[in-house]
Amino acid sequence: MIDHVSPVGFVALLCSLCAAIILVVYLVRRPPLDLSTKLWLFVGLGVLPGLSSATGTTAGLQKTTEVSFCGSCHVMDLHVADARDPASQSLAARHSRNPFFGDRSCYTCHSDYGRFGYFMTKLNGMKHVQKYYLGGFHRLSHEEAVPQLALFKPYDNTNCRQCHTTTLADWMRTPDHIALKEELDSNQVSCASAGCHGYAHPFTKPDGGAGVVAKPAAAKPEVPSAPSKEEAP
Amino acid sequence: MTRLRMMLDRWAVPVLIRLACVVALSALGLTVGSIVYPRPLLVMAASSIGQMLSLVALGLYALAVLADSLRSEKREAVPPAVDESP
Repeated sequence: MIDHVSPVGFVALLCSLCAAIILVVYLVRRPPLDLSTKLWLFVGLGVLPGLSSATGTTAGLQKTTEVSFCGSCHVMDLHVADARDPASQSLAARHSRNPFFGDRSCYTCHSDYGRFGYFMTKLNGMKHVQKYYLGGFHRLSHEEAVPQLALFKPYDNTNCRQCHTTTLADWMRTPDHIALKEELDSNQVSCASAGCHGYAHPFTKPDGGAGVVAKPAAAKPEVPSAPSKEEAP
Repeated sequence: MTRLRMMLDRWAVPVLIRLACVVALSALGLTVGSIVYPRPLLVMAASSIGQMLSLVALGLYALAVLADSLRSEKREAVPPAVDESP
């Protein structure tokens, strides 16, 4: 039951337990309000709950970065199953198998970077919760929900470039990269698009993400645009 | 200020503290719940409602201590009754 709790979470649980003991003892015994009782109550009502709130919030925010948390809304079941499937060759699954991403692969790829990245990601997370509970997604089946899932904004290539710096010789040697450099920089072309590296979650596409990974010799009929409908709500 | 003093005079200190304890226990319950069962609504409730309840509990306790110290001041200010019996 508590095997998933982080060390910070355990500190929060310990503080909560100690505070609860102090408060319950006061409620049961009802001692006179002398200085000693006041100090104990200050610890039980101020210091320990304060520590518990701070560490509990930290533990909660840490938890929100884990795949299991994203998967706690049923509309994400298929995404999580695909990401965890050792046989899947989707972009999401291949990245999730990387130990660097580990159990935080949703967050690593979908969080915004930069000064306000963390804050904006959490704010968007609140929108997800609102859409899920008030937007009717919690009532939908997988078949009904998946086609309606859409990113709030086109996927930003900067997220890919946190790891793939696009400055190494190998990257520069690929003609497509050089030809599309400007479009990639301006997000007009997404790294995760059909014809390039394939959709991150190809099963969400009407054709099941056919032609997800471009063959090196395959000619590109047209410049693929950044996907607007993909992934988490 | 005088109104606040009058209100503090009326409030029963033990009731305020008991209320603070109950409110704080609810907040702690939310925190523990969000850690043991980290679901979106629980985590959001713990970091918003839970923290608000913690603050309310601390505020109630502060009011109780203030009310108690005001009463102690009053008790000390009243001169002890002089025994006039022969």
